[in-house]
Amino acid sequence: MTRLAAVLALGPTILGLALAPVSAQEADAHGSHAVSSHAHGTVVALALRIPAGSQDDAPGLEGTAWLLARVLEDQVARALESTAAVFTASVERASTVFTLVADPTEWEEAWNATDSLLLHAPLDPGLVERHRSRLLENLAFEADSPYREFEDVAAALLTEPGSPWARPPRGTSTSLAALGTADLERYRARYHRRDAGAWAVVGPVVPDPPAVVTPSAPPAPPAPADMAWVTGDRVDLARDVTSTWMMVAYPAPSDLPRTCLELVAHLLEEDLDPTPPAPDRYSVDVRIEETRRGPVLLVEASVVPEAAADWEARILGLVENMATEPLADDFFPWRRRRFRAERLLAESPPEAEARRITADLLRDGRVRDLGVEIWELDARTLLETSRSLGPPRILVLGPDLGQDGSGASW
Amino acid sequence: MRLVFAALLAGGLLPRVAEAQAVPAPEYRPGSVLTPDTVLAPLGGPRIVLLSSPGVGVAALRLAVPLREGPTEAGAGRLLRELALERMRTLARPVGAQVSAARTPWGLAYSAVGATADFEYLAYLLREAVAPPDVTGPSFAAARLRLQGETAEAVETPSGRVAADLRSQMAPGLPPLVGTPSSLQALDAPRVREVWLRSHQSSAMTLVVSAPVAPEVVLAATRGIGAPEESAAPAPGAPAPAGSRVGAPQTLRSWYGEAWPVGPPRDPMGTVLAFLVARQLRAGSSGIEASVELWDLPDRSVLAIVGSSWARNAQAMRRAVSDALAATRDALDEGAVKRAVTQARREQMMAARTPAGLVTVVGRAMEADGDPLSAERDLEALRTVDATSMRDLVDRLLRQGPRTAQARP
Repeated sequence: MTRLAAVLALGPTILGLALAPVSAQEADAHGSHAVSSHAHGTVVALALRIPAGSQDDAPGLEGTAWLLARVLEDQVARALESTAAVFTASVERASTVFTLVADPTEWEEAWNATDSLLLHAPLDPGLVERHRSRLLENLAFEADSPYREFEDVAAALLTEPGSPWARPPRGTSTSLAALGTADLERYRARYHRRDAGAWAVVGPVVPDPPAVVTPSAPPAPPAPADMAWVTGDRVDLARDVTSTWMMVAYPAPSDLPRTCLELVAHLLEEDLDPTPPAPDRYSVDVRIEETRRGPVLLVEASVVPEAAADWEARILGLVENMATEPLADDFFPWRRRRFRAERLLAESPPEAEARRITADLLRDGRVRDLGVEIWELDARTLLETSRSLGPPRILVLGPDLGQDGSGASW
Repeated sequence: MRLVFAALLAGGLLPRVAEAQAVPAPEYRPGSVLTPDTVLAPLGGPRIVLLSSPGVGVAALRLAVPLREGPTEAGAGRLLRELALERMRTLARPVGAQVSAARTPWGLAYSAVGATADFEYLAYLLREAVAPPDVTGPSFAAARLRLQGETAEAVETPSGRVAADLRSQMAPGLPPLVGTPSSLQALDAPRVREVWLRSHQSSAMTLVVSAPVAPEVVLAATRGIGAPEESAAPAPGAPAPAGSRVGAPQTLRSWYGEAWPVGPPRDPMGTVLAFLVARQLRAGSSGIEASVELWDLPDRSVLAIVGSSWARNAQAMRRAVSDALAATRDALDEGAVKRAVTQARREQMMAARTPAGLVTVVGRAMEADGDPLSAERDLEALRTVDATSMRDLVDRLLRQGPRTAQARP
């Protein structure tokens, strides 16, 4: 059986196309570019990414995008109850992503049901109320949580003062109390439009006719390179807590190839969190955040308070080391090999691949061939990428350990 | 599906494969997603089942080794799993591969998943997985200690005790996969090695592969895997070692469970019934906790319902568990069955959507009867389940009555 994966970035007709099946020709005819690649698959996965997220909530109505996603997720799930399809909706700060995973024999039916509900069907006020109550309960449960404070301050540090990007994605108890079905409808009408977004289809879909299509439209001209910030910063918050959370964030040039930055993130995580893990850490996470002015390489760690200073020095030292000392030629290939395996495995679920493709399309106007791009990386690229990082911004929230750093004793 | 019977002769592997004849499978279905593309049966094993590769750049391999433990060997398979997994993890780290090992009702299953470009290394990981276990090092004692902790849990916790009681009634004489405290105590290094020698024969193994690689590559990568053939010996028939007397577990709440044999292993009817009973319990019970589980035993599947509650609700809990099947029968209609069937299909679909998931679904289905088409047949059978067949099944179970177990404060 021949199976093909069609990956489509649709411009003016994003939600208007009949997806039965999506043909590369159709995408091409509407002036958007399309890429298709061969794949075998047991399911069809579709991701639709809309470039509007929590940062687009109206002032005073924070949580709109989040609540809307929960309601849509629920409404669509009910409509899909008779099929084996799975639908999800997730809200990021700058985008909203919908994914659908369906049996190849049912995916057109599933998508048609999803499509009409996403855009056209009125929102169920009962569902809005139910999800709002649930969200309020969760926020009440988390009230005064030191980690919520950490999250809010960290977001503010990553962007310019007063930026809507830093708004709490799930809103506040005050903003949620003010939210009604009409507000969600307004948000949907404004942002979930047919003329914005990108989508990708991955799986045994047979485009009609050609299997491989060269992008017809040239990629958009690159925007001038920018950086999230050019001056470092540091915030220390002393709180009555038993562990220390820290964030060390580095801005990267907005035109830096994403695969290079992902390699740095991977290597950093490997070095910071080897197996078996260090006994003085609770968690370590290295990720890339997309801010309005460019990507940020972010290390977030939760550690034993007495070890916090060491951990901070370790993170800073590792990044500095990457920018000054190239990895040995016989060592780099192994680390690149592990990086390739990790990235490919992370995209084994077809919906994960589809999500990444939509992010590629919105960010770069093209889809990366990860296997090839990763293999082309070399030690010099790594060095240059590390050198291109800007000054770090640091946030530490933990107990006040006093002058000697040993804290209170029994 | 192509069935390729390749006579694997020493030194003559590739020429023989090239000459191998492709035979159309009797139930070839071009649209089916769980049907293997090719089955290779080289002389001396392992049997190789090749599937279309759903992920771009990802290869997954799953090697199944049948194992039936004798009464004095209960837990040996789990010990072999622990030892192999430790070895596999160490070797997988340099290339970032993911490895796993599982004790199934039918044997052991080792898996390796990674970049397609690392295919040969992934095959090497499986070769190491089925290599002679290190029974002389400290890891052997450590693994045995871990398993002893697990067996203790079945004895000292009420949920474990109820489940163990139900299982022993459903399959008398079949020792638990994790072993018993006494069997583990008696499992020494020579005995575990004997079990390995007997079970890890290449000719008995089945390898399921999802990767865009040629059959010749797979054959070459797996040649000579496992224990030497001449070492096979039957499982000892000696009686199980006597266990020490076990007291009742300390419990604050009341626990009560019921179990029924619902059909052959992996019977889709059992899966649908489990969903229906779970839905029924969710809708009709409050103030109690109940779980619905479907267990695969080597020759049958078992539906188990276990409830727990504080003393004031103990009677209600017991009633809820006892009435669950009858209440499910009363609420049965075409819509409810269709929803449950869809739910089961959804789970199967999501499980098989990655290369690793696909080889697990196909490989596990094959373990019970050896048929490469089992997973596809199960899926087809699931689609045919309707209210009439479910009523017949529930009526049969109600007539038959459950096995019961309990633990009280």
